[in-house]
Amino acid sequence: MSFLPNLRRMTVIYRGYWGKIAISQIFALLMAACMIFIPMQVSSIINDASNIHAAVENAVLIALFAVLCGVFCMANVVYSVRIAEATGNYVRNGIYKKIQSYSFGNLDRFSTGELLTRLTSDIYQINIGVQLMLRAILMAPFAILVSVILVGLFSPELLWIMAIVIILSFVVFGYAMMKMQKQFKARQENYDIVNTTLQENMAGIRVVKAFVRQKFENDKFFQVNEKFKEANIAPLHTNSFTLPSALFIMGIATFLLILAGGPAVIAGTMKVGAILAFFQYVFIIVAQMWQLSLLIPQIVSAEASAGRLKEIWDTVPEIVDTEQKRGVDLTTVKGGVIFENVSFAYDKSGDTDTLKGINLEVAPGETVAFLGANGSGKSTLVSLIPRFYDPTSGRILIDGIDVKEIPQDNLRQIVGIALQKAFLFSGNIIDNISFGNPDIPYEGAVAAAKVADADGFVSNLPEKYDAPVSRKGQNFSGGQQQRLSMARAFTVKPHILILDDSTSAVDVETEGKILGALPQFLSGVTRLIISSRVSTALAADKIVVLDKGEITAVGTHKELISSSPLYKEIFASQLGGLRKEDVS
Amino acid sequence: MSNAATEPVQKKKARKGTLGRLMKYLMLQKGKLLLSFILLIIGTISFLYINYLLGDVINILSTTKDIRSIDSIAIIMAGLSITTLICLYLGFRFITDVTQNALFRLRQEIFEHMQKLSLRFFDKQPIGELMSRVTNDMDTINNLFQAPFGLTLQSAIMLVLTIIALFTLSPLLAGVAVVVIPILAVFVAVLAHVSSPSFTMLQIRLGDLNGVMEETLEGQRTVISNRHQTASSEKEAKISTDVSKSGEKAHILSLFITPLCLMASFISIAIVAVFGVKMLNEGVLTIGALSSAISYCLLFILPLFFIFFNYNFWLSALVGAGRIFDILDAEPDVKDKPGAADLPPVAGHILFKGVNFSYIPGRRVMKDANFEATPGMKIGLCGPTGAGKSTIINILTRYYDIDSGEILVDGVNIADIKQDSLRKQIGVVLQEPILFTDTVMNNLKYARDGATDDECLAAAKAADCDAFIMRLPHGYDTVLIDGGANLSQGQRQLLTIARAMIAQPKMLILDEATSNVDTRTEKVIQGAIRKLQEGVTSFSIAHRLSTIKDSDKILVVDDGAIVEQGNHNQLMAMRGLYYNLYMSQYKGKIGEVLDDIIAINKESAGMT
Repeated sequence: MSFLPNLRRMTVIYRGYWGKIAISQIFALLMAACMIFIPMQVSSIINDASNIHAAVENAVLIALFAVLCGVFCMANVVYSVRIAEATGNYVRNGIYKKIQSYSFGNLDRFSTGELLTRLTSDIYQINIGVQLMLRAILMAPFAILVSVILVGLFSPELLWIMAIVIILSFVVFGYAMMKMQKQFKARQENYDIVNTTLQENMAGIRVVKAFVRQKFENDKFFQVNEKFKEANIAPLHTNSFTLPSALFIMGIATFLLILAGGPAVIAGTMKVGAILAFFQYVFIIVAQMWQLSLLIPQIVSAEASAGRLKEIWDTVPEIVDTEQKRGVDLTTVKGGVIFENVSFAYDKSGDTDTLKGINLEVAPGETVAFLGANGSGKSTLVSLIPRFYDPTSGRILIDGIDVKEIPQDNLRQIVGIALQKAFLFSGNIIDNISFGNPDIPYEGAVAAAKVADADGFVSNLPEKYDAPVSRKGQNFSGGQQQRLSMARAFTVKPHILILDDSTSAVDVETEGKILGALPQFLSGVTRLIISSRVSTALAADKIVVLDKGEITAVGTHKELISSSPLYKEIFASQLGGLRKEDVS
Repeated sequence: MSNAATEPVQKKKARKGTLGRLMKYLMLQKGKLLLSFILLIIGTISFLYINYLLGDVINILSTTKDIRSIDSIAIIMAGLSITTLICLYLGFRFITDVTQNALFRLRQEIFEHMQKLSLRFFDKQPIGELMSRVTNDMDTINNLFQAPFGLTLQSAIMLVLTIIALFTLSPLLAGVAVVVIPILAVFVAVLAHVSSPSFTMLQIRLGDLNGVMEETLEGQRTVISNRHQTASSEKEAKISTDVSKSGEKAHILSLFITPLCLMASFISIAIVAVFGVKMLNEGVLTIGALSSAISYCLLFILPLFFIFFNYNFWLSALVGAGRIFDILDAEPDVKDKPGAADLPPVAGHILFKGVNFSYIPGRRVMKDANFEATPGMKIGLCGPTGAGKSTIINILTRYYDIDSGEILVDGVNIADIKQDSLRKQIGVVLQEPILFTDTVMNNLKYARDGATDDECLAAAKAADCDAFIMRLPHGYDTVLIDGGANLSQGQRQLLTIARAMIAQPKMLILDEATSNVDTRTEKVIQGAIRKLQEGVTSFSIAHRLSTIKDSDKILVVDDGAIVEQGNHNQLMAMRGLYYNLYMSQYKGKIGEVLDDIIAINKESAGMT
């Protein structure tokens, strides 16, 4: 087992910094040396107290070493912080870039929250870990060691007291450190429970109020709050013990020093100044031991963070361009899609296939609607076309070319998609619309917005297309977000357009307008539309009915109403009940 | 760290009075606080006295060399060491109890206060943001109360006592020793002055970075489908580098406090040594006193360091506490009138008379709404997206108060009665089913204080829940994780319907309750809803017209006004907005599908 393997890897990735790391350590050692020199000077002042001249000289030396000590310490701080920040920055950029290379399948395995924690608190831990290591990992043991050596050289008869001080510090701080680590873990668990309770309460505040359960919620919170208080107090109680112990060890050392040193001074084997010097070395040792006990947990958690980052770093993107990729000339694409015996499973090791033996042919320029229950595989099916996922078996062809042979960048210019969950980025409206095609002229983006029926509400805003979009588009309603997201898909001018339930928050009339205006803007585009509304499907050339990952029927309304019981059921429940007199 | 993650740019200024108000929470355990203060003083004195005795020993060693008196001093030292340990340990321990109790109380108060606040408070900001704000602000106070608070207190005590000890040795020596303190203070002040803006800058940039990362990662699928991966990496790298530049500056400056304190302490030793030796030779100072004085100079460093080091914790905690107090000071928008009575059990007659309402003053979302619902009536609401259909829940339940007009329930104006007594009689089923992390049974019992197991079982059976609940690993005792993540959307919705049944409401609101489920699940849920509606006045907000077609009365809402009222057939005959909405579903293909519909109608008529 090697020492801090993950943290070392994160640091060592940053190879260019070995020289700087060495310099930082030299400064740390110089600082320690200056610090240790001072008690000796003090001791000689006391020993030679009658000589004012010598005292002044020694005092000047002390002042000089004090300044040097401070300067070296500052230099060490500057190097340590710089290296730590640079490492943090480097690792953060590397991890972020890695995530950008992920495919949908990779993203499914990490939640956004998880990734964000890696990029924030884990990176922070590494930053702090590196900084503390460079500031103390060599300096503290060095200071302790040299202090012991000096005591050994000048008053070897007191060395055993040093041994006791070090052992006592080791036991006390080591015990406190281990105990607090465990207690902090329990504290963290309770902290999470408090936050979950708070989160649930706030997210469900409507339900709380609707059922008038405020008192119940207060009592519930009281219990978790109290448990958290107890868990929070435990490590603090342990911690209450550390500073008093440090002072206690110093006191006990003084007691022993006098018991042992007093007779030695009286016997003349030791000078009186040595007693004072010894006292100061004890102070240095206890302070350094205490510091180490605070640093080690930080370094341990930095190591744990580095381990978590490694997981991200070592994940291989599921979808990569194949060697013999064929660039496709965008001007000649017709937009025909063929599914050849396609099966797909999200969990490759499991036995549940999300899609089973899909065979489907979509002619260029055709409009195809997909209907089916939640979980029937509609979204999965269309997401295979732009290679968000690769099928487990079978092939998908665009104009006869396997999508795996088309570079992803190229492929996603051919296939435009408005995702189920409309997602807007903070910035302004125009940038959001032209997100997929930043080169589109302003007029083109506005035209796309018009088709998506977004022009109306955008024009009503004081800043029109320059109007600000707040984080995740929160300043727009669900229906508005969906329309902007569709406009974005239109600006890509794809040959194959996928609308993945992207009109669910738009009313039927508006949806009709959008789908009606589309062919003029994107002439000849192949449209694949997923909807939970039968009415959307009515306007399609072809309706595909999916059930449990299989295509159960394909055809027009006329064909399906007599051939597919599932279609008939959906149709009847949504659009049945119209009477003759309603139409005439 | 995480506090910077979500916080927007914050002003680092705490308002006046925040400190006093925060300290009031500590005063809840006045006795214990006083006791810990006394213990800290005794402990510190004992420790400093050890050092004083060391001077005596050195004196004896330099003069009388009386080994017996040295031994007795040593014994006293051992006793003082133990006193130091015990007193300081208990002092810190008690202080922890006091601060954690204060925090506990503050947390409980803020939670309970939020339960009283009206929905306007929660609707103002996304729940996630509110949540992280409250958590982070509480954390900043916790960070102060954990260790820095006690350490600062003890450090102040130690600093004062050390200076006093020096004075008792020699006022002159004390004078020259403390000369370094004001100089050091000036340096630290300059440092704080320079580093504080760079910390603010770091906070701002970190906020930017985390905002960008969070948003991009959440929209990563959109980033991929629009080929924006490289652009997004570049954007991140740029801000990230800015962050590390600011971090460098802020951290370097703040860490300079350590070497400054070291230097100050050592330099004061040098000064004291020179003056001390001079005084020694003049015969006004003993060598032991000089030794003690030098040790005291060394001991300066700890308290000084802790005080400066913890300064930032105080600042952040005060800012955080200020914002917590803001929430505590927020008044609920909707208040019960003084002496408001409970709403007696009602039959469910509802009357809207000239109701006007706006979320933001001046932007009316409900205009002069008038309608009547008789007990047991099923009312459907429809209209174009964003027309204001959902507003009706918010005002009928008094989540918000209306601007003008009257809402009468069984002839009683809801503005005149207690909100809680009104809400107890209204059941609500929302689009997004909300369940709590608890057992299935407890989730059902949530509906009403004192609901029995049998009532819950009956409701679960009526709402078609029993079968799937029994399939859960522990049946009704299964804990729903993460708001019911172990159930399907439809199952969660069925549970909320069962829960609404247990509440036995007289009025019911269904807000797009089946919009997120497929047709088959919808049928099951509709069946459960029909049972729930029996004998109850209900409002159902439609996402699809087929769900409200059978209502007794349909209200068609457009732009905040009720433009049409009537049942389906009446509204169709009107050939107005409702008719247009209904017919737009057929996408102009009505001619092709009409025969099929009529055939289906006949079939289902034949079946029943």
